[in-house]
Amino acid sequence: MNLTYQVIALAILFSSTVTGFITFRMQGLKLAPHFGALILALIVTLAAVITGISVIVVVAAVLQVIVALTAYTQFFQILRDNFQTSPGYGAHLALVTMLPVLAIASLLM
Amino acid sequence: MVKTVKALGIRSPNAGILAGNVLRSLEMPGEEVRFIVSPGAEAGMDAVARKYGYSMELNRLEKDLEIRMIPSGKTMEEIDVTGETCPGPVIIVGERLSGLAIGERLKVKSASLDTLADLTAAVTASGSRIVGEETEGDRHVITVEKCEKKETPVGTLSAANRDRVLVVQSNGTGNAERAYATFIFSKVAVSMGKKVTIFLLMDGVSIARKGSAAGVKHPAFAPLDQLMDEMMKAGVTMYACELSATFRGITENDLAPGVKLAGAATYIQLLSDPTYAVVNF
Repeated sequence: MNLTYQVIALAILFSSTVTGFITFRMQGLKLAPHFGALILALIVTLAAVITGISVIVVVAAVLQVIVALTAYTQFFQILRDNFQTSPGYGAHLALVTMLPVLAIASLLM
Repeated sequence: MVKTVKALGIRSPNAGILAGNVLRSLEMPGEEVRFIVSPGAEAGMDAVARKYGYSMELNRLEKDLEIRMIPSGKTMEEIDVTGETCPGPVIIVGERLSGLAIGERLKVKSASLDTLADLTAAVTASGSRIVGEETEGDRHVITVEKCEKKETPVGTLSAANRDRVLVVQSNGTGNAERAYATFIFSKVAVSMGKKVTIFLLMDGVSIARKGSAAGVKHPAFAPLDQLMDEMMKAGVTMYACELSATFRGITENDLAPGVKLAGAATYIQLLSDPTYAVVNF
């Protein structure tokens, strides 16, 4: 396990709370499940980086993958039909899409 | 109910005799009566009113006079919209006014002068008028009288009587606030007696896709699909731009019930019609 990737994931999660909050305000309650997963992942990742305990790192990695998945399930309809408003949510999607790669890297490398 | 009697061209004392006969032979004794008379007919009307147990109120119209004979002790319907936020008061008053007959009055109270200013704009735009303003304790009060709405011929250039609203929505489900505003503003316009057409284009057509409005939610409002259904039932026409729909792979079969596909010509025609006020979201 490599904690460096979890530190990068933590930075991305911090940034995602900002872009996520903006997107949440724009799109309403539809994003509540994703936003909940994001906050939970942020807390667990912070705990993983501080403690370095393997179990917590694994849980954090799983939650990071869930954050990316919930983003796509909740954004699916908007991604399909809303091109003009994409600058509003594009930054958030780009950030959370990095998380699964970092999560897998932190477990395998 | 308010009975309206037009007696133009009849002068005093004949107007007074006519008013006395009308009050004496009312089908519903104690009914409120408004006489529309020519200037000069008002002399002696107050004595007629007293004789039959009425109080008289004189209002000047554009050319004529309105003399209201109000049964003594009759109270006016009242509503207090304090605490309601926009567009609640306009919708509440609009619904209450729609149940009144021409000439009937409604007293509206609110702690906020801004709310009453908004209501005044809505009431006058729907053809009715404000006949009184006063203060009762901490409440500001306006008295609204329902009037007959003057119809504007289609295609006239009169900007003062635009009684149709075109709501153009180009942001779709990706912007919940604008999506809600589309239907809430439409609801207000309908309650003001306006004919509303919604045109969905660009990202706006995402609202027209079957089931997609159900995903737009905000704790302060009903889900978007409910508002959409409500507007459809209220007679709002909703078009989805054919070009924008094609760009997003939306076909006629994918549209929510009641939404019609329309081309650029329909949009341009609606925009070119001077009887439409255009709102963009």
